Amino acid sequence: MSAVQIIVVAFGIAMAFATYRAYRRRDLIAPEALMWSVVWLCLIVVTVFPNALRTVVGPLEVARLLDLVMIGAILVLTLLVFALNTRLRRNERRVVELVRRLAISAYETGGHGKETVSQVHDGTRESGK
Amino acid sequence: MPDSHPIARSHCVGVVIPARNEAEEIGAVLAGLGTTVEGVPLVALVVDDGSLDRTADIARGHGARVIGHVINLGKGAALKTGCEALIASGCDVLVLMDADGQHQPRDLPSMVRPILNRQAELVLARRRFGHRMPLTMGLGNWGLSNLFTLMFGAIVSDTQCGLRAFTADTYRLLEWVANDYAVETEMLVRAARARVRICEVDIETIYHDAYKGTTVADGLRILANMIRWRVGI
Repeated sequence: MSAVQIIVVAFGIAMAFATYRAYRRRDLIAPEALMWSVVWLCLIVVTVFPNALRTVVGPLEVARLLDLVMIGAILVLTLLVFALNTRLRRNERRVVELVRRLAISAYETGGHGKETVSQVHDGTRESGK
Repeated sequence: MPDSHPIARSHCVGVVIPARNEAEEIGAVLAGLGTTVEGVPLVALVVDDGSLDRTADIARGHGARVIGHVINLGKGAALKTGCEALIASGCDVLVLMDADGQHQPRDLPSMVRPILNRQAELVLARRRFGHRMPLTMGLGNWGLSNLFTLMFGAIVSDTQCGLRAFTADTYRLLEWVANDYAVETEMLVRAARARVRICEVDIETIYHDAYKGTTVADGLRILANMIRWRVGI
C-alpha cells in the first residue's frame, strides 16, 4: 500500500468515526449517518482495492482510474454545495421572516402599531413627532 | 396646505429610518423632523436593526416610534420591516431616510410633494456629485447609475441614494428581496419593470468621517446583482 493510500484510508476512518460521534450527539439523523458511513466506506474500499473500479474505467471512456475518482468527487461536491446553498437560503429567508414577525408583533402589542390614520390626524397618537 | 393636494386628506406620511449603532446621529436626524410635512401628519419610525448601543432609547426619547430586530438583518430587511409596519398602521406615503445624518429633513417636502400631487409614484433623491462626495463613492455611483440606464432602460442619475418616497401601493410593486445594500438597486429594477412613474429631486448630502454605508465591496456585489437581475436569475 502506498503512502497516499494510507493517508486516504486514515482520513476515511477518521471521518467515519466523526460521523458516528455526530450521530451519537444527534447532530445527524440515522439516514444521514448511514449515507455518510457508506461514502467513507466506499472511499476506503476504492483506495484499498483500486482494481475494483478498473472494470468501469474502459466502458466510461476515462483515461485513468484517478480521473474517474476525481470526476466522481467533483460531482458529489457540486451536489453537496448545491444542497447546502439551497438549505442555507431557505433558512436565511425563514430567519428574516421570523425576526420581522417578532418585531412587528412586539411593535403592535406595544400599542405603537395600532393607531389609525384618523387617530394620527386627531392628534391622539401616543408617540411620533 | 393639505387641501391643495388632490389626495392629501386621507394621508399619513411615514418616514422609515433603518438604524444600526447610530446613537450619535439618530437624535439630530429625528430632531429635524417635524410633525407634519406639506401639511400632512408625519410619523417617524426607527427600525433598530440589532443595535448594540442606545440607538433605540435615544430614538424613543426624541418621540419616534421604534421597532426592533433582535438580530442584525441588514438595511434592506430593516426597510421592509419598517414599510410593512407603517402600512399596517395606516400610512399611505412612505419615505426612506438614512439614520447617519446624510439626509436633511428639510428635503422631505420636495420629496413628498410630487407624490401628493400625483406627479410621480416613486421619488428619488439625487445627490450632487461634487467635492463633498468621497471620490470612490462618486465614481462608484456614477458607474452604477450609467450601467443601470444601459441595462434597464430607465434614466436614473443616482441609483444608490437612500432617500426615497413612494406610495403604499407602489411599495407592493417594489417589494424587494435583498436584505443588504443591494436594496436600492433592486427597488429601481422592479420600478423599471413595473413602469412606475419616477421623478428625481436634487438634495444636499452631508458625509461624515465615520461613513458606514455602501463600501467598494458592496458596490461590486450590487454590480453582480444587476447582471443577475438583467439576465433574469
